[in-house]
Amino acid sequence: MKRVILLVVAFAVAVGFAYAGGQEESAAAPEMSGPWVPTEPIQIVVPFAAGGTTDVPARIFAKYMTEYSDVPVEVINITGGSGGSAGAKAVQNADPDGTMFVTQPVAFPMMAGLGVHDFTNEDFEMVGQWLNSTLAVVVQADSDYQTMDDLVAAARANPGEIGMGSVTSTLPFFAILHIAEQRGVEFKMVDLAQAQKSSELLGGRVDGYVDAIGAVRQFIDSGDFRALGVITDVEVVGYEDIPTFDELGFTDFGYLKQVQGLWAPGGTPEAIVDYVNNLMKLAAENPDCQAEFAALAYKTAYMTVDEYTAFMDDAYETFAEKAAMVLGN
Amino acid sequence: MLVDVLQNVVSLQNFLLILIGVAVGNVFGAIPGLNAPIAVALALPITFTLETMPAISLLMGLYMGCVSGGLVSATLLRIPGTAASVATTFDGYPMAQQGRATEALSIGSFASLVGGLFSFLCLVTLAPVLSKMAVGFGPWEYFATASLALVLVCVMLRGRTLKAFIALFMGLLLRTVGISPVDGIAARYTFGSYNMESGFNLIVVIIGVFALPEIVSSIAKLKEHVKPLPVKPRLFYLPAWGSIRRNIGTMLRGSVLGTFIGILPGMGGGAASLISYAQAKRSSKHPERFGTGIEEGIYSCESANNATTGGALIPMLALGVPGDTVTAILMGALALQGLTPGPLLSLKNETLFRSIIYVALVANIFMFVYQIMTIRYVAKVTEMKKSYLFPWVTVFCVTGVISIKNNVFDLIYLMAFGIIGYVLDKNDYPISPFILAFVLGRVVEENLRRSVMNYGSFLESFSRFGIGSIFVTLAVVLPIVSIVNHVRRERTKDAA
Repeated sequence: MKRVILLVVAFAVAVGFAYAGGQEESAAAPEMSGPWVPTEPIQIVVPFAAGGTTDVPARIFAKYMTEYSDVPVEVINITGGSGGSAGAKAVQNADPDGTMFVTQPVAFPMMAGLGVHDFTNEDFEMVGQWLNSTLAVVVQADSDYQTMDDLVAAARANPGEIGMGSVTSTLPFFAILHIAEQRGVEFKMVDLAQAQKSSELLGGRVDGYVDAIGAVRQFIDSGDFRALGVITDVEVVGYEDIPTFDELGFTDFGYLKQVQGLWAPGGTPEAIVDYVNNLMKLAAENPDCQAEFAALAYKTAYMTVDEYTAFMDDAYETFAEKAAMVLGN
Repeated sequence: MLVDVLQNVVSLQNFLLILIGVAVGNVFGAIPGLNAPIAVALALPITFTLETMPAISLLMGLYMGCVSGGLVSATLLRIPGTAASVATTFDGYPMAQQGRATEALSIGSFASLVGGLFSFLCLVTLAPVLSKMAVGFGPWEYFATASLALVLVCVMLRGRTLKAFIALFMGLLLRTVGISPVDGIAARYTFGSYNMESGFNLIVVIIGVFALPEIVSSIAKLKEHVKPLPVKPRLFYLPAWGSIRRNIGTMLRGSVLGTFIGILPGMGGGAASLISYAQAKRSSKHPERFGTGIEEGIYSCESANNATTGGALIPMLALGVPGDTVTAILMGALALQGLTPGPLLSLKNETLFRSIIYVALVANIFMFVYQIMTIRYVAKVTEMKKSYLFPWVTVFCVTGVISIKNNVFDLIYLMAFGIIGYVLDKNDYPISPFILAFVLGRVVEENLRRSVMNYGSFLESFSRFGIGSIFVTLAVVLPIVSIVNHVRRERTKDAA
């Protein structure tokens, strides 16, 4: 047993050396001008556990990005801290040489707004966005709430009694506050455990909750839940009969989208950022890749470097305002 | 239906992948610091390139292999690879020290098989019904169940109950380090270090309080050479028929307990095996012999911790609610295959749903066969010279800890917990309440806070009569009864 491990280690070291040797040769080739070409594997740090909602899309993207790149695109998980801070820190302190990137979950601007994270988008180079997913408001299918107006009316009649569930300080939490604020009502904010949101509604301990459409759609399909609205301005493909927040008359809900993008360490040269952004574009436009995401009810949503940079600036500003509202309570 | 399922499951590729999974999983389970979540997460990228059934075969093999692999290091080295095998050290290790390592391992493997098969039967027949149970459990019920589990483990350590509670509260206190759960706003006892914000990792703590003190004590006893009984080379090892017959009841109780605890997310194999062990001790005719290397001890905890695997799969497959960390990653793996576990999977794709369950069965059987056939090789560890063995164990502990988060900070508190474990052990404080407090501390705290948020106050939560309030009452009454009994015993002793 131990001999096997030793062998494996020795082999890995040997391969590592061989690889490093190859590196030096290729680095010696004069390739300083023109577009940047990677020589080492590109590592994408996912600051959360493998198999999660940030990890799965990253792995799918890495697979397709590898197809368009000369080097493998790998996903590694560095977990710890709060809201993914350990993974972000590891990339923030990495060399800006195009080998390490971190996926940006929506938790980053939110945690910064709440004053938990001590880093912002300013400490990184923005590379691009690849994905977003839409939130939905669901209630039990046999409940009295046929429409969003029913739910709001119930909250108005019984202020602070209608329990709406979310994992505290996540995007759905802000979504419920957004509904409450724009309709001038008050919900009872119920904290849900990350992994068992659906069972709280199935068990009737909350009146409704907010979660990504991909997570709740199977309960909608099975007839357990009814969706009262999706937080977006365009209809969700396959669920056109669910009213959008635009149709329901809500405004300024653009920040309530679960966006995922990619950040590079601060000071990463523009050529590197452009190269990786292009990989993201190619992957996002690949029909196979889009089909894989569609099966999970995600939608690839590519953004250029400039669009994404502006979008992130905006997100940090919005969440700073919204968090002030939460912390002020 | 069954034919389709069999066609899905029975193929050379699937069986080979299950076997590879079981073999690799056994190594991961046996090495401290490596565990099922890590093994399954590492295998995730490989499953990318596979079809759905082969992918599931590999992951299930890994899952079953890891859970059972903990038996080996717990029995031979007194080092539990995971929380699930903590209870196995109590009787498995003394038995191995008496030179009966093969017996201990064969008992453990057999009990694992029984636990696995029992939970498989529940999975096949009762999944829809049992998943309703998971739905019926809200924050208040989780709080109550976890609290009762903590109290039970302390109360059942007769004669050391006070020390058990002290160890328990130390564990609970240390568990509060980090960002507060639920609101995520307060950083508690972090001294401004962001490394402390995620709190102490359970695996690091287990290695710290179990492995390091054991290594230190072994070094002190380096000169003593225990001559183990020579390992008789046999093709496979089974426990004696009489021993199995005597312990059928113990195994069944462990299996039922394990399955039910497995269904409840967040509780897991650690709680199941410790409670099952304590329960077996409580109902035994000779509780004083527990901990000296008796077979009931191993039967009770190994059947329970393997039964949690089937339990954990029930809410995942039926509701899309993972019962533990591994099933959460398994859900991710299924997502990568374009499948979403939940009510629709069993309705729309019943063949696949059943196939997943049957793969779990095959993995359980392979795991058993693999273990009883490799016992003769792994038992040789007890014949190794300690001066060679323990440096290796130390290396594995350290690399295991590093592999969890790629964070060197974990090594620093590994040392700290090593010292805590050593001091507790030398002063005859039981370690199991300390570990269980770490396993369940977050469950207790989060769900208490959620209950108070939901129902307004503790009293209002309590006034919702049901299983939750009964458990909370028991958690308060049991220690009092234990104190009263203790005082009465002491009085009669004085009077005599």
